Amino acid sequence: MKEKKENNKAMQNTSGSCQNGNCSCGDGYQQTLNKKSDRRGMLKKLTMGLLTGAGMVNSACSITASDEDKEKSQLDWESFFQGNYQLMTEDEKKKTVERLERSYELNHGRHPDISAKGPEKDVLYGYAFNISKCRGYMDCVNACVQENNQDRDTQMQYIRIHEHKNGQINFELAEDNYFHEVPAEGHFYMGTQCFHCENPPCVKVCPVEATWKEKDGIVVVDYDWCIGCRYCMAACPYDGRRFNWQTPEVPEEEVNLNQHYLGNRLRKKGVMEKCTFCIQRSREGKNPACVEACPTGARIFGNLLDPNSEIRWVLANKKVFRLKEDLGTEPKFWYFMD
Amino acid sequence: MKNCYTNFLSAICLFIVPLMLFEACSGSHEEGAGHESLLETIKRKEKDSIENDVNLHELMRDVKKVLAEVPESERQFYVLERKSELKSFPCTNCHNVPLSSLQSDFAKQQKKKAHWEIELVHANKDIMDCNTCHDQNDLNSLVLLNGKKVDFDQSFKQCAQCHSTQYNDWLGGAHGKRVLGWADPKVIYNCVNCHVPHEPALPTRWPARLNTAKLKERQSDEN
Amino acid sequence: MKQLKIFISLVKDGVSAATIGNRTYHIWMAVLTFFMLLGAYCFNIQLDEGLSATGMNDRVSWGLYISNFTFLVGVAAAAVMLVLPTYVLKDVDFSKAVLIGEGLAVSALIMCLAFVTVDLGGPARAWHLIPGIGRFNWPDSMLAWDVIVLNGYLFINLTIPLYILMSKYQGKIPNKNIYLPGVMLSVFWAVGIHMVTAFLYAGLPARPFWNSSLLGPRFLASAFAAGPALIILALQVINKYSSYDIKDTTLRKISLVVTVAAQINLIMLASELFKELYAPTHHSISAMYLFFGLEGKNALVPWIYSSIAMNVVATVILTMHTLRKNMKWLNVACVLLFLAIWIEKGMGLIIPGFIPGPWGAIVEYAPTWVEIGVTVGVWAMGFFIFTILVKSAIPIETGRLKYQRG
Repeated sequence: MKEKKENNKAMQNTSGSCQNGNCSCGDGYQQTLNKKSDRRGMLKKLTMGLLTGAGMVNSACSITASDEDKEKSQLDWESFFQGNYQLMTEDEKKKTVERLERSYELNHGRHPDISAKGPEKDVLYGYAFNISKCRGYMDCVNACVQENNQDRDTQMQYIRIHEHKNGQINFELAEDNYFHEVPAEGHFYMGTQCFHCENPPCVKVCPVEATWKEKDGIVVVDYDWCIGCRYCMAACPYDGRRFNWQTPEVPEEEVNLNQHYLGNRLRKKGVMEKCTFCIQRSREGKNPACVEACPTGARIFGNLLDPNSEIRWVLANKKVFRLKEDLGTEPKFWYFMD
Repeated sequence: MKNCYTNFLSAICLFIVPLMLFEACSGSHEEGAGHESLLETIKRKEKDSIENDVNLHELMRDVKKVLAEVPESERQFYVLERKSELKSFPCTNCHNVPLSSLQSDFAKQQKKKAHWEIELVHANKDIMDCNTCHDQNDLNSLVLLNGKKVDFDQSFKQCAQCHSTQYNDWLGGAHGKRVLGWADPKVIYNCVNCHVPHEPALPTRWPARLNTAKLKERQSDEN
Repeated sequence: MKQLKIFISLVKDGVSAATIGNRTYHIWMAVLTFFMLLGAYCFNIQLDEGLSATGMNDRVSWGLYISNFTFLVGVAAAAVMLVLPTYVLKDVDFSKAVLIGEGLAVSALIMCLAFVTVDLGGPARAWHLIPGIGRFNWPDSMLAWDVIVLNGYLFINLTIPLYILMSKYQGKIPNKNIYLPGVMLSVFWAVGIHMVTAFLYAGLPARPFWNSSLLGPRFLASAFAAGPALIILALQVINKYSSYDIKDTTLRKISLVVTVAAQINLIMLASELFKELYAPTHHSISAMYLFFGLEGKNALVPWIYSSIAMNVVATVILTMHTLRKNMKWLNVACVLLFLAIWIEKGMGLIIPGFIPGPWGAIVEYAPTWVEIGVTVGVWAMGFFIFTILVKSAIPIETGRLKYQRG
């Protein structure tokens, strides 16, 4: 059934506006090649032919497809040739985001608000975690899942809360999936997530530059550019990355429509995703959902370049440490105690 | 002839190996940053006056807040307003007669029993009682140990009397948290927004969720 | 234009040569086709469901595919063991094996690329890797390096034999000045592909099990044992079923290569074992899991011990002259060595690198049937390509098949 649908899509593409050459697809080509449109069209058709295979045979069916279906497949088609977000001009970003919004609207009937807001001047985000305060409630985990539209089916979570026995910080002996009244006697709690390293090994290894560090220090993924090789996952020493092993599922009524291109917009199967310090929130001046949800004040977020910020106060006045500092990754995520 | 090839090959090696080494060293460092540590980077880039448009003024408009009375702090900030959150404030709505007469009214079943659920679990009974914080003569305000009155909105002052460490952390930002976000204006939660003053310790409870998928993933391997 | 015509004719003749054969040959090809179709079916399931159809998960995020990829890069690199003496040292004994070796390299490389492709979450977006239209994180990403060196090596190993075959097809003697530089380049390139593949893993401080400077050399040693071992076996099959006559001396020489490589590989294995087990640190925990199991989870333990046992037995057989010179024993050793190194690269290297996870979670990995089906399919494709290459190259190489004008 699914296959048929895909075939249909492919056929419509052939008969759709792409064939007569005046389609607006493919900012990827425009940016990287600056090829003439006829040549682009040819390349496109060639790739398309390879991709669609048997689907092309019964292309006659497309006549019966509705205009909406045609638009849908046209949008899918354009998204396939979408370029790397880093290379897009502001205008291209806007168009891409509009297309994504329209595509979601066509498929789900609701209009998401996808932002493409860039990094602000004089901002470098940092995070501190108070291990004396955390009580293991996991409200942050819930808030994160809801805010970031993570797959409910596989229960994907960016945050892990590790329950350590007093007297040792040994993650191998800690439990990150406890279920009993917390805080448990003689235990303390430590949260991990993406640490947004200043020297991120995951970014270095990506073969296609689908992941990078933004100017404000947030390590992001272009979900449309990621090829799903999972090299970054192997390279991350902090277990900060998650992979969509299957098509992520979020009940429509639970979808957070306030989205960012590099943040919580809906993902597809076979791509990487990760904590973005809730980029859709933090770039608006708000705190990430985990900070907002924490009932103990164990999570502190702010601008490292502002000497008056809370995060800087913690760095200056508390005894802080980071995990696996010997690896030279320079996480922007510190731990401290009262 | 043979020499020619060896030269050719060594040339290739000489070219490729340094390139890789160069790459390994230069890696992902930024413009001439060398081996600058993160803290050094932060110091180098920090700004006394931040120039950007991120702020929370619009969102904060609907948040009930009052300017915190902290003369020792260089920077002005707000705390969440408290009085409108209190159900029967001002207290003088009821407490307009002496306490003894209210109690006798209660005995005569004329008035509803009030504050009966309050159990003071805050320090030792010998050290603290209701009068430690509530002004017996003016129940609409709180009172400090030195007898000075304190507004309900500025109740952090009262906590600061004993909990000076926490108070300093709170002022700095290591205790408590900001309302809404990190950008200006700075509004922070008052002590009583998180801690019930009569029973300030946070409760134990069950975690918000259990990841059953993770559980399964780990168990399935034991078979 | 003329060259093109000759090339087309060569392909035509090659294809017709590849389609002619006895019953055993046809059964062999039919079986391979069946497995290829099976693999395609499984891959279709995987495309539809996503990689959740495999046994991989967030903890063990690379599995059977990448294991096989790593192993096959070694096999491809090993072709160089035959190229070097033939062209450079003018050792005639090897010349007949060279074409087979390069055929093996080509098929192994195609399998490598296939394994990487099936491992991708979005194979349709693989075009992002094409320099020019895509965006290539070169020289930062070792995977980008790998894509370049693998495709480069494929190109070299396709063009050199093609040039030689084209010449022989026309009854000319191939011009050394043309192909020798290419050959020399491929020699270094072969070392390069395996080193780069080793660096792919060794460059990850996040995985201490891989983050070892011995990984590259060990990759080479094991590759130069497993690759030629496979060639020894393949040459005997070719010898038996075709007119291509390969002398025992050739096999003996190759077996010497295998022996030395296997010995070096064992020394390196011992050195790694010593380092991990004599004074185990926090970083030895993956090795602990591999050899002893952790928290009652020990799926890899039987694999690694059988691998080591096979490795040792094979090396002992090869080291003893009398046994190595006996064809039967040599074959036993080659089969053992091939299997041992295949296990060593997958169950002994890739998978334990992920266990335990960065925060100590131990999740074991077992491939699903879909994954095994795809793997078998890719292997069948490799053998299929190898058979066709050899079958069409032999008549040209031996001069039975020549270009007919007109």
